[in-house]
Amino acid sequence: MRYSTFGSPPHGWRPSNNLLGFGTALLAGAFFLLHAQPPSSPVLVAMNAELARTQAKLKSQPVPPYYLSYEITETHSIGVAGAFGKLQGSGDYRNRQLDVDLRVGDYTLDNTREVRGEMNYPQYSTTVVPIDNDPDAIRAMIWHQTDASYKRALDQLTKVKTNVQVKVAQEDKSVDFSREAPEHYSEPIVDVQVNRAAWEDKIRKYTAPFARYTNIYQASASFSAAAETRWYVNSEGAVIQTSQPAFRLFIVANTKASDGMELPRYESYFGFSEKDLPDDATVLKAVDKMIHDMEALRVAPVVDTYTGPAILSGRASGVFFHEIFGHRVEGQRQKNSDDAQTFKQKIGQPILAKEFSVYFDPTTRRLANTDLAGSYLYDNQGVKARRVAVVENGVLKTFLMSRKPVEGIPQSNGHGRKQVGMAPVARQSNLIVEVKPSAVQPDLKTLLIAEIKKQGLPYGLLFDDIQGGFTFTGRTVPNAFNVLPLMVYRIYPDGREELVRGADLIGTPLTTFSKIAAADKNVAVFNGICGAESGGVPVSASSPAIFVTQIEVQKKAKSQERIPILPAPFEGGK
Amino acid sequence: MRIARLSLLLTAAACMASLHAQDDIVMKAMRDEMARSMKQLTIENLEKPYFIAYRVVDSENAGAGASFGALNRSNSSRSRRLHVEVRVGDYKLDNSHFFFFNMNQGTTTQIYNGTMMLTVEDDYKELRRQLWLGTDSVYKKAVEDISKKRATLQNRTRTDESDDFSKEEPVTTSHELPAAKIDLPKWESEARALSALFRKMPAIHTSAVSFNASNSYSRYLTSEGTSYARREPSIAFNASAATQAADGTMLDDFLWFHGRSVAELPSQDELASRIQELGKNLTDLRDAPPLASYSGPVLAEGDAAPQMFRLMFLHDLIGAKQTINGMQGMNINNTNQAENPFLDRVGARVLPEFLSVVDNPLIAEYQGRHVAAQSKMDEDGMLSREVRLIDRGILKTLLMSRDPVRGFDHTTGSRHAGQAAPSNVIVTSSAGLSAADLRAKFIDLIKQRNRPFGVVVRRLRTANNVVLAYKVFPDGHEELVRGLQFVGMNPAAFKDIVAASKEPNFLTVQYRPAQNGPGMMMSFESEDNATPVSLVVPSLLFEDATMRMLRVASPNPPVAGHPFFDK
Repeated sequence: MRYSTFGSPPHGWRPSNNLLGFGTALLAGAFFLLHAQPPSSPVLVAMNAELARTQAKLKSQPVPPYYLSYEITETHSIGVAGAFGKLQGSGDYRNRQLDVDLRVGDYTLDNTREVRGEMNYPQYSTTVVPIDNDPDAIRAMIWHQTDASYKRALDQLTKVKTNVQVKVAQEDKSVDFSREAPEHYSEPIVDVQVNRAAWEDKIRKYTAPFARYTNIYQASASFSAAAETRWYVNSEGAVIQTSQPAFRLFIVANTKASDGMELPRYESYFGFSEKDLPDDATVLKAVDKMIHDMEALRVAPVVDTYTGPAILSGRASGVFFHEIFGHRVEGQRQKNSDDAQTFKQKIGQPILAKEFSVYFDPTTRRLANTDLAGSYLYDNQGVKARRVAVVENGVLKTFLMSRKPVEGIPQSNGHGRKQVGMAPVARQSNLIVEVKPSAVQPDLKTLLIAEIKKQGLPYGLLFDDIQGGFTFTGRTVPNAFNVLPLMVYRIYPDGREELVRGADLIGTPLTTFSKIAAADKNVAVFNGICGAESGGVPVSASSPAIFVTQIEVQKKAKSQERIPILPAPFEGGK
Repeated sequence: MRIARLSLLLTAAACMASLHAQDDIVMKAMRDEMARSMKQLTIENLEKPYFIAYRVVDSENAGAGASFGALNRSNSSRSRRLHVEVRVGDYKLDNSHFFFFNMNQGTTTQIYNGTMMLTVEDDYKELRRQLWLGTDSVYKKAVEDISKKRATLQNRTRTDESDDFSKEEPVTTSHELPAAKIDLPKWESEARALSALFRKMPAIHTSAVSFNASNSYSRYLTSEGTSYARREPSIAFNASAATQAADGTMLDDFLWFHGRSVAELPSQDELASRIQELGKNLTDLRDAPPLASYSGPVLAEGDAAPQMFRLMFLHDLIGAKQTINGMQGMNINNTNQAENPFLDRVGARVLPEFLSVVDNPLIAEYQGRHVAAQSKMDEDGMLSREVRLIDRGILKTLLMSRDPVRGFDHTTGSRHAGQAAPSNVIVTSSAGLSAADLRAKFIDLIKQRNRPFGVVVRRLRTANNVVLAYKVFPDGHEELVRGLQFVGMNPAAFKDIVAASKEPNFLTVQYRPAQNGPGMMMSFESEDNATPVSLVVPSLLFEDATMRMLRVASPNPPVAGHPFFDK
């Protein structure tokens, strides 16, 4: 594998004083034309030209747009998928898609405001633009999409204004769109190239060990190498070109217990370069462990209802925090009338032990010897990425913010994210749980055993792996905040560990959080794709193992479909 | 990259070519797992399958698309899918034609609607594994469905007491046309060049062209002993364009050409001239006046004759079985559950006596021009045959798959795209007029009726979207009008056709069978539920047809002009 650059040579974009001056003018609501040195990417040339022309042409309309942005995302991806030692497919795709954010009204009240009492379901609309660098052809598509967006925005603004008048005053008095400084950045365009035949062999090799088993019903692996290049311009003067590679390997296998319970295992790897993916020996070892785990799970006893202390491994804790906490601190959830708004009134209050902090940091690219999938330089609204301390010393400080403010938090903190074709909302990036040394314990198991004895319980629980919505890599997984523990052990007072299956974590997040008492030093990273209302976005979650003095578990509902009726049509074996 | 992709495709093509012995490794795995399942597959006290069918479809797809002179996409893929059908009960009453969806089904087997992805590499053991798991899952659903279906039927009277599945003699066939040659680099440059033609058409707002090719290789096997292997090449060219009239009326149209090889597609020059014509028509339509309403003689010629036959008549020539909805409380609207009026009209006149209709899947060409649907067998593995549907105006039979409907117990070998469907539909006239005579008759009719003008229709998208219609005045001159729709056109209107041309009009369309029941809702839109159908239909003169202006809210024309032309 090598990176190659094409298109424009690297040249950093510096905002001129002139530009900043215009930016200030825009804050007063004025439109302006971009007079900066034209960037060399033909895509940006097309986008800027059409942006300027649209502004000029629509200025004289009765309701002109007050804001307009274009984002073109080019994805070049090379993918290989296989199952049980054989190839399912292999391909090489390149496409470019356009997203338009056109707003009418003003920063205070615009067409994007929630129309209360109406289904506000996320809309996916994709506009393919040419992959050839032909500004005329690209502009033709931008023009048509801009016109459609303008008409939709006008219709929507009328609905919004009526809704504001007929409904009770909104609880949250915040405005619809935050004012942000226009950013200017350009990095060289990267491409990915891999030896696809070699990866076809690897995928065969990684899935072949599963093929020996007659009771593993699904076993597949997929590899993808993708370069994502984003060009972003807006009417406030932002001009951004970013280009990042991502390499992913994902393995999934599934078996069933004799009572029909599904017992899946997953493994996922991520890196910014091909060499950051593990070598064959490491992957094959993980595959062996998946097989071993599934064999053990099939015969493991089903968990009973349990309330008591537990350990969450670093990986389990990361997924737990992402699903149970991370989704609830996404800014718009404090505003939408249909959301639970769990944490809305908690700003400035302790929600975790004072030794615990939770950061979302898209600027950290690597942690615990692992590349972090939720890294980026600018979000999908042209806002510069930054580290956000959501919980500091146990106290809830702020929320993850897009350019949609919530009461008390008027600015974005660079977390307006989306999948191409969706509207951006506040989403997670790299979640990092940090623990002060005073709460770090060398051996959580000793702590757990002491707690079991103290509470007079027969055993405690160790959650070694939890599956959440983002442990899937597909972009099509529905909005899933639920967690499903996959590998859970009973820990007896004598230190013995016993694998159990069928555990379902229940209880409210705030209660569970208040019971987190200690952590160890071993930070683990989970990389995945998170699915929510703005589509699938790459994220990571990193945490040390944590000790919780009380957790609630019940038996999970199992699949009603039993194991296959006939035996496998071939001999199994080692 | 391009070279690598190309060589992979060539390798794939070579592999595909070498696979096709009657009992290759895939067919052997299908046969062996089917034999085992028929013999042993049962859950205690529940019925064994009485029928199993496996279909394994290998497909190789490639396509290139462009707009305004620039490439939008160019890609290729390969896949292998397995479709499993398991029937329990008996031919009289089985689990089929019943819609019930269990939300709580396990995810262990990655099978949806009886379809699962297979690995593309031949391996007997892995094929057996997937066939085993697929059959198991579909069988479990079948036994659940039949018990629910029996319960549902206890509380319901049925209008259709026909069997659920027809008994037919087993057939073994194969039909392997040469694979279509995939040439992405060539299509990329042709797509660029053809899409660039729109750079000279300032009136057109959006446009796109694409080439899409597929080579599919199907293996089919039933527990009754029917089997076939079939290779179907397909290459399609598509061009579309859209604009708006000054009052906002949306105007759009497309071209679609289909062939089994590149040679069967129109030449590059021909495509270019058809695109020019498409652009010119839309450009002219922008300025054409609307026509508020019209009732009187209508002449359908060009594409319009086959399109009207397809849109307003053809569906009643198909015997489609109704689905029983087992989801109580689930109201599914888009079901086409009304009984076909033609079920009771066999022997009755449904067209004028000078018109006859056949469906003939056996031919590759008609009067020297290629037609789309050539196959020795249908998707049930039944032998294809020429079906005389209407003979001198009298309805003889309907196109049938193995799903009987009231009064039609057997197949006509007409299952395509998953249901009974047409292939090559040929309408002939025993009293065909020359173009000049037909036009003279049309003008006579206008005069007889004391109409200031008649309407000739040359192209339509749907009954509600007539693209090209012209006023024809008694002196013979024509004026383009826009925005018309047909009112109340149904098969009965075709009975009163007064004349037809001698020369037929050829049109090949991508045919999707009507959704016939709630179950269809769940299926994916793919090439599996579409099939190319050729229609050969003479120009048709309707004595009376009613048309009026289509009134729908249209967006205003674009605020800014097209960036390429508005300089």
